[in-house]
Amino acid sequence: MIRIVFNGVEHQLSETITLSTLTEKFAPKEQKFAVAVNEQFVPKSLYEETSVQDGDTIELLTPMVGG
Amino acid sequence: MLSDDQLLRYSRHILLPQMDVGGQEKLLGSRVLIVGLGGLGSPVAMYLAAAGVGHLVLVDHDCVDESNLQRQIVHRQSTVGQSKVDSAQASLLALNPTITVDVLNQKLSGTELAREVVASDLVLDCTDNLQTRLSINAECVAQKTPLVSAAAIGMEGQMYVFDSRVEGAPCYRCLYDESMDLSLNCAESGVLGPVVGVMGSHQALEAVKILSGITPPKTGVLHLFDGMAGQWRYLTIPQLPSCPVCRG
Ligand SMILES: [Zn+2]
Repeated sequence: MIRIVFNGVEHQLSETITLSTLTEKFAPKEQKFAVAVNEQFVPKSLYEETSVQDGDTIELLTPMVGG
Repeated sequence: MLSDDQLLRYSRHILLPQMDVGGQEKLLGSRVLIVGLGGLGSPVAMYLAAAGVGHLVLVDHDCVDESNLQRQIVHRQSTVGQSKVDSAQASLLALNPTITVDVLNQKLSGTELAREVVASDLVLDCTDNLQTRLSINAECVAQKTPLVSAAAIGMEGQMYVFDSRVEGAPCYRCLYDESMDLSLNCAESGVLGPVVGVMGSHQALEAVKILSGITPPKTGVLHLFDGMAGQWRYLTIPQLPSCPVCRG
């Protein structure tokens, strides 16, 4: 069992998954966001090879453009 | 060499040991491009004019609408219907008639954008759409011009400094790309006036720090503001190894 905080909410995952699987699970629409793991953004090209670790804090950020 | 009038006008800056006369002289000798004179551009332009940034170039193609006045504090009831750049220019010169304020009442792209960026010491992105943000970023990277960008919507804001003069610095495109365009803007989603004011003031602070040279720029950090909770968080933006803009 691994515990993560996703967009400020705690979740438990039964098995280790990749960032790619995680984002599909939580945000099934087109990937219109950037992902930060433990306060550092991860390039989209690394989602497949990045596995989510116990205790990770993960955030999805959509581009904010209003001014 | 500052005049007696300037020593008086900027005395509260000069009293700061980090700023001193040298820092103020750098502000007076700076030329800055401000793209967008809305909710962000209003406090940005007013603080930079008040600070004595010597030459401001304002760009916007819109006119002042009554619904802007809830947050776009550089404009006035009496300037509703005027172009935003003319309205802002009048406000800024009323605040500080000793600076130069040029206006471009148009959308800026291509060679015209390049010409303005290359002439500037720093660019402030205060626009309201992703396409313009990406093109300003690309030009700032190409010209190695520091970019201070921000955005706000609802109760939240984001602010980032990208300084391409720094080796290995990331850029806006390392974070967001064309495919992420949600086109959420203040006109459709609403925004609390002071939230956009906080973000614009934060941009002005970073711009003054960079222009006066009082601290080395902290490039590639996303400053995230939650106006509801009153909290800031900071996320690191690494350079994208495949970025077509800053690694192209
Ligand atoms: Zn980049």
